[in-house]
Amino acid sequence: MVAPSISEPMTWGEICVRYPDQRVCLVEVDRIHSHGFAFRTARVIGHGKTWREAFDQARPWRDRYMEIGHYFTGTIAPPFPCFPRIVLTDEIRELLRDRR
Amino acid sequence: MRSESSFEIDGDLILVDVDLVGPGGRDRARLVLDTGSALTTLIPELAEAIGYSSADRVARSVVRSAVAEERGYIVRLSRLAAFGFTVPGVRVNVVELGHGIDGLLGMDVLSGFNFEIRPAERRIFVERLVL
Repeated sequence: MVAPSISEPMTWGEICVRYPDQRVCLVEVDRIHSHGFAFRTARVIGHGKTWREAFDQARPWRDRYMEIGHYFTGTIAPPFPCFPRIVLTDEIRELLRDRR
Repeated sequence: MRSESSFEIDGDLILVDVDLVGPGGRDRARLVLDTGSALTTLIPELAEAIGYSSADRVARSVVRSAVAEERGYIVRLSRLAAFGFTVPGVRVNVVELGHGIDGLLGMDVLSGFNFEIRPAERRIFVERLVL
């Protein structure tokens, strides 16, 4: 098991350069707007090519940080020609009806 | 009440930051704003990070893509917050999406709001509906 480590405060640009095309788990995110993505700096507590890898490193920090941000430093490859679509069964329709 | 938020664009996709609250913690993830999705969806790893597994399901689900059918499950999230608004008890579909996508913010949540997307400004205005 890898010992828990935490990076110094980094900008999003610096994070993307250090962890290219990786899943990153961020804490101490100094947000510019409370519900937007933009932030000044954040610390990285987990990173990897898969979420499992990143989460395994981040898990030991869960007690210390109430909120962890999960982001991908690469570019999404949209599943063209179409997104996967949920099959609306009667059971799911019933769940949706409750909300309306 | 009206809010203004920024969003990111990746290719043709609009990505919004969403707070997810479950029994295991409160995390923030970047979901695709998808008006074509009936249900808000998360990949299993994110659901597990905030404390949900298939044992917590309220229903099973099937997701159909161009090439395959993926089986998943639906859980009732303690809380979801987007655009500065909190929505309790959202049913979220948990299924593998692939393509680097972590989740979809679907119409089950979005239909509770009026929203105006301004892609050129990368801003979205959201107004909560009071029924």
